[in-house]
Amino acid sequence: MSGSRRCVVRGLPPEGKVDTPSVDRDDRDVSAKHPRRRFLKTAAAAAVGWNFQVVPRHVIGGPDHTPPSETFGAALIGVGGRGPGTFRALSERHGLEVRKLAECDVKWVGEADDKTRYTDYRRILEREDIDIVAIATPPHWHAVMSIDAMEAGKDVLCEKPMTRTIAEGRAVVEAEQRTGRVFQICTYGRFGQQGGRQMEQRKIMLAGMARDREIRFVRRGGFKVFQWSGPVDVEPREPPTNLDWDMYCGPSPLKPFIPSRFGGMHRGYWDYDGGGLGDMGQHYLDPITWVFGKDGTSPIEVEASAPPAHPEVAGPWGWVKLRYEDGFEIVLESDEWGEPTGLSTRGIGRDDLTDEEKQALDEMPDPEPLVDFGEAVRTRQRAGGHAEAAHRTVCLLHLANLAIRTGRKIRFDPELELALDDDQANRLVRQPMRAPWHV
Amino acid sequence: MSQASDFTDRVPDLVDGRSFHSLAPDEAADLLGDLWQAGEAGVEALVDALDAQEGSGDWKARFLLHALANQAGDAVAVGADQRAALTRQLTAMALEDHRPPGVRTFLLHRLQWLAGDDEAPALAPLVADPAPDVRDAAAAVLTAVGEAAIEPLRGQLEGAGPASRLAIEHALLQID
Repeated sequence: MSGSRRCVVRGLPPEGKVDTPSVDRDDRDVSAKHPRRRFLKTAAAAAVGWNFQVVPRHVIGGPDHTPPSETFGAALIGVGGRGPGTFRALSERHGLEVRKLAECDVKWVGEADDKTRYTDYRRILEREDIDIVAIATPPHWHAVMSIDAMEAGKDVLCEKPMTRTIAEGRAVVEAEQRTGRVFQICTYGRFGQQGGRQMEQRKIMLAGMARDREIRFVRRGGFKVFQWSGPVDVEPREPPTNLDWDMYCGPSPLKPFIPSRFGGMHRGYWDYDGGGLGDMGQHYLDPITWVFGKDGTSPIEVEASAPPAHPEVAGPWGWVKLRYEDGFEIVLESDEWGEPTGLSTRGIGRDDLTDEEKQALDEMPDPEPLVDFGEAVRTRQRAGGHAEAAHRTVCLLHLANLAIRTGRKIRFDPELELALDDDQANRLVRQPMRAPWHV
Repeated sequence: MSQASDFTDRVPDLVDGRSFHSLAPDEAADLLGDLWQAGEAGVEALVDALDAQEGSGDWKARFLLHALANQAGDAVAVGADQRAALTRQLTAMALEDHRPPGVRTFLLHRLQWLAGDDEAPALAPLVADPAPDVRDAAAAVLTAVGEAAIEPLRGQLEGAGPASRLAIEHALLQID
């Protein structure tokens, strides 16, 4: 894993591999593709004094191994705030029989026994009896942990927002494809949108019938802009003795400790999250990307109305407009700063179509029902909120924050996932991680 | 001669002593325009006003330096010459070892947005800086610069201690 990563099923057919259409079954050895990573693996391992190889229980058990009684060993990484609820979702929402075998939190220095309580999540991923991890840390850790967990043979239920940057999200998608594990974000809005008008809307959008017809979705309010704006100019202090502050900062810059950077208000700091957009955006927009057929693409243009941004904390913004190549537009209004756009949602339905289009619509089969995480784990299908879909949704928040932070309109290539003619914006799309962490 | 207060006095105070509300866009445009007009003297005044550590009351100077660096990335708003001049100045100041590590780290974090191929050779030695924050920030800048930083980084491997080697190799890994 990060700092010493090896693909778990090197040279062996991965058991429990999810059937995904874009998996390259031969492309499993990450370090062979990336010579520098192999070097780093050795150098970093020597530097930090550890090296290990993880083999999933499915491989040890052989091709016919299934967990007894379909009970899964599970672990929670990040036990504050959302953590307990995230873990409960495994059983209460997803119907999985799970045994909580371990928990991890960076505030357990001096209290960890490295049997059931850990401060280093990598020790949990080494365990053969863990099948599923629930990740409820702040977002700056989500990509690294999700990738490491999937490469260690675990399925992942991860809190939203999926990632802190666009490049991280693409790395998670690639890891899901490479490893064949099940990945799902803890947001489920799309699952309630599979009937009636929403399904019709989705099919119309996917068929391209809404092109240039000024279809728009507007979300007004509920973005907690000032609630999740971190306090500024706070005098640093020593971190609590039970907190591993270096590990908390992890891939983000190691900044002097102030209480608001830890525990809830972390949402207000760019180092860890994306303000209120990061907190709520994935919930609001996950059903929208599904209904409007945008799971496989991103906007090509985004602009925002916002004052100059602060270097450290998420601050005020008024609205953001995100426009896709087919003309579909998402408008977010904070209701907390500036003037509203005056725009409203405008969908498209059967009544808006020509006779020819109606016939084509009638002939389109409904998409397969979205697979719940629990079912995906049991049957090894791709979860309904899989990595690509979750990534395309969270990209909306990242693009919005890109426009807010740079203060200018961003043109974006949805295939390359890069801003066009804006090197500075791309330095936010893809941000360096602090050693030894990487994706 | 510019004083930091010529500019920081025009930034509204924090609401309730902690909450950042920025300033109105038209006021910001005027303020940043005046900062660009002041040139090196304005930037130097702001950098000189930075405390060794964030949280000591210098947030307005930090905010303005960031706003300047951010606007420098807008090819419509700021000319290439102005951007280059700002980048050179911030680079030179980040290399001044009489400045506290906290200040140099802050400048390097701005350069993560701005530094280009030309700055990589000058900044590469900072991956061996005694201050870990400076090392990490320098590595981040060079990672952001990308391919042009590869040779300068490799050039720092010889004689590098373990911490520097880790920073260098990690930067190279991420550039790959």
